[in-house]
Amino acid sequence: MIPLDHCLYLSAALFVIGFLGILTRRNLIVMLMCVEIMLNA
Amino acid sequence: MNLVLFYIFGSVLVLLAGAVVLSRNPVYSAGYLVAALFLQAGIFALLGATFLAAIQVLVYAGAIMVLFLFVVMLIRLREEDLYRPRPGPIALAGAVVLFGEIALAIAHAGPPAVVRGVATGSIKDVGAALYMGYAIPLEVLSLLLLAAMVGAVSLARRRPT
Repeated sequence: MIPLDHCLYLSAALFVIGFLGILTRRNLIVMLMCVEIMLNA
Repeated sequence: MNLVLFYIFGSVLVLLAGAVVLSRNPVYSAGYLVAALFLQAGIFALLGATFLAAIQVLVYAGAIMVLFLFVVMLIRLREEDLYRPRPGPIALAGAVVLFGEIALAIAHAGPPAVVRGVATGSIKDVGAALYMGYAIPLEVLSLLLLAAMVGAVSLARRRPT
């Protein structure tokens, strides 16, 4: 099936992208969207 | 076939998440996030959690993101508020270091130590977990939502002049 490691790598990449978004963006709504990306990861 | 689809969905999902973070217009960010949630529902379906995939599309992409779009379109942003987001070198380096750290932890972890009964994410499993295992957090969550609603209504109420 789908290897568990690859799922975890995808989740880690999404988490880091969301984290980078929170640190970078100034608009509060977009920051909330980045929190949603992290939660989905 | 599942593996190929997983790689396609995963790579486009990462690109869309990057577009959410880097796009200039918050409406575009919301649109990219809706597309990312659809793709994530596809990944849920590939992993066998069909009920979760359907609920993700209906609730997350279909209700929560729609409300996000309402708010984003109602706050009229002036042209000078749309700045060009540029992650500095420190932020990018920090992100690479964080991802490397997590990837190292994933690579060094062996197979999972304890394999409980595999829950597939079907309606029966989600219902059993929600109403039997996690019943008390469900009730606490409903209280939290009630507090949020009362707060929103009291904030939006017209003050008697």
